[in-house]
Amino acid sequence: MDSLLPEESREVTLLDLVDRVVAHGVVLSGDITISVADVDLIYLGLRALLTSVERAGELGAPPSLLGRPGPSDE
Amino acid sequence: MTEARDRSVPGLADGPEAAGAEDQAWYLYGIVRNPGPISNGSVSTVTPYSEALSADDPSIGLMSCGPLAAVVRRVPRSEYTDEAMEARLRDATALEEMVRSHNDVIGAVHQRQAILPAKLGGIYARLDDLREALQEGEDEFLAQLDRIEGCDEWAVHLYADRKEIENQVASEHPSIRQIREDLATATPGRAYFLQRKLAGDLAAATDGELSRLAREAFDGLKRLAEEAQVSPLPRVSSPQTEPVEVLRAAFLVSREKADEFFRVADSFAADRRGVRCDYSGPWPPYSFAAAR
Repeated sequence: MDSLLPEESREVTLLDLVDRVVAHGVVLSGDITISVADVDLIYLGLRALLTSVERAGELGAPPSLLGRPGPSDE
Repeated sequence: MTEARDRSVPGLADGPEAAGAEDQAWYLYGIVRNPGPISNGSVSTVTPYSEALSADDPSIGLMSCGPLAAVVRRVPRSEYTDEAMEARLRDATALEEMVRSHNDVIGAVHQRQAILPAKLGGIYARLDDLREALQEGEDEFLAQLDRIEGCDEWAVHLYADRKEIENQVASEHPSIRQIREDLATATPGRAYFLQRKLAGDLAAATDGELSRLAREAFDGLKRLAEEAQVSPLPRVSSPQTEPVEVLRAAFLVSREKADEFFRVADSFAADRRGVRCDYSGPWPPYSFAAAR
């Protein structure tokens, strides 16, 4: 069982984090000045962020075994 | 935590409808049950959420609306103009900071009470609009808050070593074993045909086994969850990369069942060669916040 490197743990959790805040959550109707998550550009920016995180996994830094998690890593 | 609802903190909301100011807007973090006294007023004001929460960020406040409240922060519009956003998008560090601080606030609230997390970057010009939205959706929001009460979201990723699974399939799948036996005594011409059939059948059978593993894991974990949701897998540019992710899913798990949930996830991988189950959390229930 591979031991967890701090960077790997942070990257996998970042992926889960971005997945959540961008794709999910309530949006209330109303006179919204800006809904950042609906702006196409933020998806480009966040996709770039996500791609760099996922690529780290492809380039031989395998997704880590988190196993039983400790305190929530935010 | 519950101060008089009329107490306003200078800088948080200078009297009612401070957000009427052209340079101000309101960033929404989520919806909670109103922890304070139910207000029957029609004026939108924001009061500090609590000492503990606002110790780090005194600008986090609650806009109460009947039995509900919106967790908000007043923000300068200048931070969210097109130019400002484009600059932020070019800076991966700033983007990551935005994403993390969004979740940090929601996470801090989630520690103390159920919250329907808002999507990243919901910025509202007028508190009254938020208030109206809360009133319109009151029944739905209350029902959803009931559903998520006492629960956390867990993100699960199931990985499989394709080569290992392929080897297992090759030795256990009857028709594939048969092809391999036939190959041993085949003429060169027939061997060529059989090799190609073997490769095709093996790939298909391995795909089938990976799908079956994903389904089995999902069904097993779903039994311990209040709700579950499969997420689409990313398109992999190099499909031969090991290990391959075969399942990505979110589960809404009541805290009492969390230990059993981990046991099932851990033993699913431990009982199978070439399989690994990662999970992260506890997350606030983003995936289960919107109405069904």
